[in-house]
Amino acid sequence: MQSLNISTAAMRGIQQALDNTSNNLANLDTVGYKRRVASFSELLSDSMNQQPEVDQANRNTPPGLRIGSGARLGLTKLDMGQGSLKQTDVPTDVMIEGDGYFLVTKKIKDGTGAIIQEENRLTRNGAFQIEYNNDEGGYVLHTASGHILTDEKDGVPFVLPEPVQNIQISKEGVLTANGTDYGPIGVWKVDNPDQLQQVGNNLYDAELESGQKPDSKYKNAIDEGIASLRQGALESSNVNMMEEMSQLVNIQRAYQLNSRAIGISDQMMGIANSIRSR
Amino acid sequence: MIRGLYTSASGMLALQKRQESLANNLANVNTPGYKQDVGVMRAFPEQLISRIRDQEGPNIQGYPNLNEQAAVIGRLNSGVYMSEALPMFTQGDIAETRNPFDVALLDNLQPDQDGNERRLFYSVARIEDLTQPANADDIRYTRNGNWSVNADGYLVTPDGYYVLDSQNQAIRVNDVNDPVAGIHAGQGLKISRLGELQYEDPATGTLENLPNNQRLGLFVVTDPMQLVREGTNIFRWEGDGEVESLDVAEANDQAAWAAGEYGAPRIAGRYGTQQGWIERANVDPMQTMTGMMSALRAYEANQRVITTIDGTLDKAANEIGRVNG
Repeated sequence: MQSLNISTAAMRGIQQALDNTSNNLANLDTVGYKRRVASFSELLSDSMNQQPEVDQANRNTPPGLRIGSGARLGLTKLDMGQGSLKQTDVPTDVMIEGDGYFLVTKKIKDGTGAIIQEENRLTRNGAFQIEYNNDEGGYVLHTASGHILTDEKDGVPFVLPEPVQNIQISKEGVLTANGTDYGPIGVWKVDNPDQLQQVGNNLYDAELESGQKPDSKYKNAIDEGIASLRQGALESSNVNMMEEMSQLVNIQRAYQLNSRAIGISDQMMGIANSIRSR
Repeated sequence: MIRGLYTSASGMLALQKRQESLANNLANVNTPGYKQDVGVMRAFPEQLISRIRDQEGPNIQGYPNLNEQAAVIGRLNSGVYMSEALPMFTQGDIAETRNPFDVALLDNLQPDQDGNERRLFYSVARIEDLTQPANADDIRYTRNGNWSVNADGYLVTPDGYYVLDSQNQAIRVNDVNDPVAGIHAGQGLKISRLGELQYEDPATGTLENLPNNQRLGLFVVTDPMQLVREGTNIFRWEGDGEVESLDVAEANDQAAWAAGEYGAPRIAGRYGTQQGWIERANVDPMQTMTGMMSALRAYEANQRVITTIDGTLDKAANEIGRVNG
């Protein structure tokens, strides 16, 4: 009985949509998190053609009977809407207003301590910390995952010679520390964030080779006029509790309806089974 | 009596199909642009049945006496089958998503001169050579405006069909090969109410048309029941005549209006695309659930008929002629 498979396929998809919603809710307070929106897609149709000859006349549709085979989860699209501002007054917290990503990098070492490659990641999480870094030979701004913030020119890390106190970041991203100008922070425009690979830790794979310059792949979002920076603030996630909860209700009802459909199909099978059970 | 057995069995089979069709509607209750199917049940062709080896019909006053011919008993329907699943093309309600690649299609086209229903569709296709327009044979129609941009920067449906513009070409939103000079509409893609494709030029801050893509490829389908459901929310045109592109249909409509065939235009101003919204499925869960319950009960009734006939047969086979019963 095909209807069992139809409803099962739909329930599987709905369960994945539920997973997506729970992940959004789990990241309600993650800085720079962008919610994903699950949407469904129909599966292929079966076409049955064994019908009486006289049926060809007086029809509204072309010959044959077409019945679909259910639904699946089609896409989980990123919602790139701006998250709300969270004032922290920490000088190394930076928020991107508009579209764009920070490029952060980490050196991957093998067992002997030699650097084998650079890991380039994009993030919207602007909560940086200052710490001394041996490889760079100075103080760097890094994320919670240890990736170092890079500049706008060649995507190289900012290295401050001493643990400076007075850090200023302008709207255009220019970083000054104790009056010394270190140049602008790189904020990169990604045309199609849906294609970015999410690698966890609030990071996306930048898909740059070791040593490849970011401007060979991305445009500068500040120059394009679609982004500006704000110091002392963080971007909270763009997950809306109300919206997710109503989505949850929607999903749960769809799940219930499909499980009822399975129940009815099951009863029908039971009825067919009991044709000869006296 | 034996015939009744087959009749009930055909009833059960047909109801099973109806249940499948209803289950598919319910499965797609959250699929954007899905159009629900309504099952049509049809009786098997009627047969004229007559008595075997009995030439003498009844003698009824006022009716001709058909002696010398087999006496007719009457007509018999030998069951039912599900003949077609009609897609209902009524407008689904629309929901806001704020995603630039979600576009809801709204239409309220008036019937044409012959009173045929008309609906508006997006055109999509699978294309091998993206520099060329899609082959006419490859063009499919959909109401699903839930799109995304693929790795090559083209606008696609969730199932990988390219969304077509009014020249049947794929729509390139981002030029992946040329990061500097190429077009990079990205999230800044703007789709107007009439389906025109634009983006904001960062240099000048003005809205510019996408190169070569003036407008989404919208098509007016007259008598949309003639569309074949392929699944994945895609329809194929298999009816008579042509599907008209919106520009052509609109020009014809304007001409007919100017010629005084009717009082107001029947296409212009009666449709629109809405970016950042999706058209939801037009499935009514309540109605579908009720349909399922009634299918279940009818199925049960048919089963009872089979059981009853079986009981009668049981008597005939095992009790008639039993000695010392």
